[in-house]
Amino acid sequence: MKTQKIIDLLDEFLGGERIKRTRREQAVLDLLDKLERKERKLLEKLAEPHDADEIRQLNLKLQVNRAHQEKARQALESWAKTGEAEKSDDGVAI
Amino acid sequence: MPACWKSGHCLATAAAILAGAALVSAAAFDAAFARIAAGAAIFLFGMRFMEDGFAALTGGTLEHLLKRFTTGTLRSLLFGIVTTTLTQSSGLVSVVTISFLSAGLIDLAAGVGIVFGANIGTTTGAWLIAAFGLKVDIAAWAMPMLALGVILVMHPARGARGLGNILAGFGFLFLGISFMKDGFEAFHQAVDLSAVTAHGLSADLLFALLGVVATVVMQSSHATLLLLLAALASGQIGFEGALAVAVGANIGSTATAVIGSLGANIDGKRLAFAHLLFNTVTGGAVLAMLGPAERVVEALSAFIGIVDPTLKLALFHTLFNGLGVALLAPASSRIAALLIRLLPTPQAPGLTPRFLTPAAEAFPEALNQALRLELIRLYDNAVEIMAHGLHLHRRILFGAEPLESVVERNRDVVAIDLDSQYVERVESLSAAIVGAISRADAKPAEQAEILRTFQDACLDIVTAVKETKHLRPNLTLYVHHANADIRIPYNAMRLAVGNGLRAIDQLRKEPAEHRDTLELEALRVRFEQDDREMSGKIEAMIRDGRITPRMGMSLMNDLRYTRSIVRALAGIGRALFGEADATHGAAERVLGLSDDDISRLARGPS
Repeated sequence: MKTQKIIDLLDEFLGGERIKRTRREQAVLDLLDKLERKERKLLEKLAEPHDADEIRQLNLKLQVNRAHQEKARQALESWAKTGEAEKSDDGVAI
Repeated sequence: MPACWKSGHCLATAAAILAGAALVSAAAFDAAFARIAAGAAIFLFGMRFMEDGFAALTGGTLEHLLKRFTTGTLRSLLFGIVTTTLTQSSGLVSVVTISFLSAGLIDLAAGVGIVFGANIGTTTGAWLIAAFGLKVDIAAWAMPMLALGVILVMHPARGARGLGNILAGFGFLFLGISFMKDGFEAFHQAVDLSAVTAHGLSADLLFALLGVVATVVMQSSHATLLLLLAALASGQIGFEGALAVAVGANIGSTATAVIGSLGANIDGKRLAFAHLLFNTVTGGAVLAMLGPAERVVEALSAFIGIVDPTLKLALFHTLFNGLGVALLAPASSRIAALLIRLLPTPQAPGLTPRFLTPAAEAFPEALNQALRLELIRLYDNAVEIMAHGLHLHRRILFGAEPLESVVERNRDVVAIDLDSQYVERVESLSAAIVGAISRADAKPAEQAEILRTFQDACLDIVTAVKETKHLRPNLTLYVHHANADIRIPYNAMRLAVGNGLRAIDQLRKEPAEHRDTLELEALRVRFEQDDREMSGKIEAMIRDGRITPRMGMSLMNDLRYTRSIVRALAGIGRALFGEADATHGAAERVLGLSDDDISRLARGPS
């Protein structure tokens, strides 16, 4: 924890917003991974017999899950574009 | 109303003390005192039965009648007149009205109207006594009421059980009063009116005082009137003196309501004060002008053709109560406002922060943790208020039974004063949380975002409680309604909020790494779909006469409140039980769905 804090402070001190963003990108990637696993589970559940209300619930969860995945991909894409711009400014790849 | 009174513990404790007093006095002192104490215990026991009975009947016919007959001063007045005429006890009607008020079934202005009406209704007793020389023996009524009540109490149907509780309650009240009256027989000689033969203002005051004392002691203005009419008929008391005693009996009749209000909530106390105010103001005014009042009664009696002095007394009794009501009833709303000013809602100390200390506020990480813990405390308090607001108990709400059957099976009113609960358990703690957030250093940007999330969660909790408060009156009215077209949507609203509360409860029970707070947004989509479907039907239901336009309006408004609660719950779940790590928390927020996203998903693929 202390090491992480020192890295964060150094990062901030040295103007390393990129590191933070990379961590955030990683967090979104982790979430995306989690969402994809969840989607597979939901699809497996949907293949089992259920009553109408349960099917509706599972479908809703699936829809919402996919909407979150879409948001995650959009965010990653947008950050990637911003990263390209920075690269061209300071020549540092993110 | 104190919590112990709501749960019946106060009543049970008081009844137990009185029963003990009855035993001790029977053994060591006097049988009369034993009967008085036993009577008071039975009286309190009857009140408990009645409260249970009215609570069981709420949502059904009783609420419908109350709603219908207590909207507006005139209707409340009529309700008071009719019920008092039927029960022949203004004290009892006052006690029942206090019970209605405590359950939130009527507002204070309607309660004041009922009490004013009860003052007119009670005058029918004097006419009955004077005209027929009879008075209903309430103890004789008690036994059949108890017998029928106990049979109904064992009935499987909820409505019948409620009615049984009310009947048994009335039976016990009558029996208790009868016991007390029997016990006070020893005092009859002390209030022998024929022994007093003075005249003038001081004599009037003395007679009035006698009326007060006799009525307080016997717990019944009818008993005093019975004595008075007997004395008047036999010429043992002058007419003017008799009028003063009748005024005193009216003032004394407030004692039952005052005693009944001791354990009631602030509205109950206000109502008892209104009863006292009405009787003392009108009584005082009439006493000050007793001579002219006597002449008016004599003239009117001559005009109508009444000769019998006892009937003249009954006429006086009706006139002075009617005059008081005519003067004060138009101002019942203002009187209610005055009572609220005179007897303000006590400011409870409220919840104070447990984790937000100056030391915790000094460091961002400690502050964030303290804020999270305080918010979870706030949420836990809010959950109890909301569950009770929806007439659900947390044990059942968070149990294993499917929620659909939970809301269908559990529709009994859960008595809760949402205003005072909000003040006690939400307002001060939420203010402390917002205060700490505003004092905190919002740098760097990541910390500012965390603080904003906590602030939003705090506001979401407050919103959820306040919207539940708005939702509750119609919910209470319609969850039992015979019309399924209005009942089903209201139960669906309970289900939607209950689903949100249960989903968060299940979420917090999972290990942190398995929690998926984003999934809470499926609840919002589901509600949005249901809401769209219902909104499309409302106009058609109004057009087809299946619901009234007023019901339709209520439904539209309450769907909005419910949407707001469901939205707030999704935000609360994510902020409090989602990722504690700042970066992951921020990532979750990035993925959060906007209102537009929710609408799009609810519409489905286009």
